[in-house]
Amino acid sequence: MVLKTEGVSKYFGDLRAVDNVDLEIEEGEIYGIAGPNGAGKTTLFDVISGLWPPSSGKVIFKNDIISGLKPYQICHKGIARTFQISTVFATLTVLDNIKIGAVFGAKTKKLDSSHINEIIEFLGIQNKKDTIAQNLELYTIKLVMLAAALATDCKLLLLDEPMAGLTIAEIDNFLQIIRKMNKEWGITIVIIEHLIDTLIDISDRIIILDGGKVIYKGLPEELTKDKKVIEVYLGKGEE
Amino acid sequence: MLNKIGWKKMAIWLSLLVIVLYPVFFHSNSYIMHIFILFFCWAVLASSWNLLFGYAGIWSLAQVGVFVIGAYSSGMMAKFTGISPLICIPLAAILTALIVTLFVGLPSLRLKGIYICVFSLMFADALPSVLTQTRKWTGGGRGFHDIPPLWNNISRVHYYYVGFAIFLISLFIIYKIVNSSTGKAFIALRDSRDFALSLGINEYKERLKVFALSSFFAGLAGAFYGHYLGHISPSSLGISPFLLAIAMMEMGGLGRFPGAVIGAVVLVFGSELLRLTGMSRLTILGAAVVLIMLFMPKGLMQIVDIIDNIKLRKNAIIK
Ligand SMILES: Nc1ncnc2c1ncn2[C@@H]1O[C@H](COP(=O)(O)OP(=O)(O)OP(=O)(O)O)[C@@H](O)[C@H]1O
Ligand SMILES: [Mg+2]
Repeated sequence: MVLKTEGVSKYFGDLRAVDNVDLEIEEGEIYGIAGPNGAGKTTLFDVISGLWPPSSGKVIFKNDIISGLKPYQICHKGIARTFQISTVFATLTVLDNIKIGAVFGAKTKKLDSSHINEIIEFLGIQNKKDTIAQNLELYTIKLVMLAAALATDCKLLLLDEPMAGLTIAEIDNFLQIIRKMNKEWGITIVIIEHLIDTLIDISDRIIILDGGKVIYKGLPEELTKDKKVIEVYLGKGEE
Repeated sequence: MLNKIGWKKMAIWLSLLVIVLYPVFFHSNSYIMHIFILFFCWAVLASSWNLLFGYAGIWSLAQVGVFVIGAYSSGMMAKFTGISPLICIPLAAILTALIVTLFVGLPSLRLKGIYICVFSLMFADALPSVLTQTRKWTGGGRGFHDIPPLWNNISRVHYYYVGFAIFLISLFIIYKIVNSSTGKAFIALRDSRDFALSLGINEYKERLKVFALSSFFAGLAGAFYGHYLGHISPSSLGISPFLLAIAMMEMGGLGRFPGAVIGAVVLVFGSELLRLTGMSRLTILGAAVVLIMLFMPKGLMQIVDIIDNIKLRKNAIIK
């Protein structure tokens, strides 16, 4: 088991954004998360990556309790993430964006430029290396955000709706990237995604969150048959 | 050929050459040299502020106060201990960095944006009353006088070259910092904090670093300034030096190198020029600042970008 959450909750005042969530993520799997808007998916990522400490409960990564650690410490343990709202360092070049991940995120403090080049080629952004990030279009921004996360040498990667706003061709491309990171680089992936068919397609296991609670946990194939999921999420007319 | 060296490098080397040679040819005109020496101090002060405010995006407003702390520390150290000012100046810069990191950097670690403005202003605002309370040693409101010169019988030319050395070294190091991974971390935290944190940047450490570095250079410039003038008083903590420094930084280009230096050139020399021609200096300077900020919101460094773009296009056409 790579990551485990035990009764993790995060309250914003009275609002239970994440409510008593138990997860067990196995090494090497692709773990899907879905749920209606405001279900607490992003907040769960924020708690795992240390941006918020949990209000209660524990997060365990490879037998270490990581809840309560600072984000940079959690990053150094091997957890990286991307953000739902695409963010890069707007005034830095693409290469410098990625270097931030490599210099500050990787445990080996020495800059490994062959690793950076490998990532850049893998994502196909060679010819954007020297572009200032604020001049990029959406898909490349997402790739740069991913590249910086990969540069930290992560073992576990949290992707928060990485495919929102992409064209069908870009989505196909991105799915290939995810599979490759998972299979060839051995990175365990947790992915939040609204497109439920896509999520079913790529995930080994899926959970559905609603109102901060886990309402479904299991295999993707059985998801569409689950009464509760149909009621609160898939329901009202197929998407 | 000219294209290969790059016009920016040419401009920098030419300016440096002018500065180096000026006293050789105009040895008698010590007034202009005085203006140059002030310019060295302002340029380092504004550049150090730019490191903190522009690059790291930490909106501390205490930087002139930091400069003054440097001046008092070095002046008092030299006067009361008799140690050579040449040793006191770097020591005072280190002391300033310590004081500011401890009293402004540490407490503001958890603050953001406008709250840092308020907190740092409170710090700067407290300095005059600290000086009044310690009147016995600091001279209080009347100022601290008879700060020893760098050495006995020092001439203005010597001050000119020492000031120039401090200017060069400070700007060179600041340039190295903003292009190093530490500088990139400052920018990363400014551009997108959460992303920076999730990529392994230790926010507290980097913020303390930038406070220490920026106050070191402001303190260094201030220390030199005190020995050069021979006195320092709380009036330096008033509103006009503050506005002048902030205008240099903003006018040159926030978070750009060497934006603050260009801002200092325009404001120090512009202001003297206007004084000579007897025109209403502050009105014209104020109007110039407003106009530049209106038409070049990214400061005078935008001119550099425009020239770069024209060159790029020209090159593209030639190819
Ligand atoms: N910083 C915050 N302060 C207060 N409430 C917050 C904060 N961040 C999130 N929330 C609330 O917590 C709940 C969960 O939000 P979250 O962003 O985790 O949902 P989500 O599942 O990611 O939704 P979406 O699909 O829209 O991205 C929402 O009700 C949201 O309004
Ligand atoms: Mg979300």
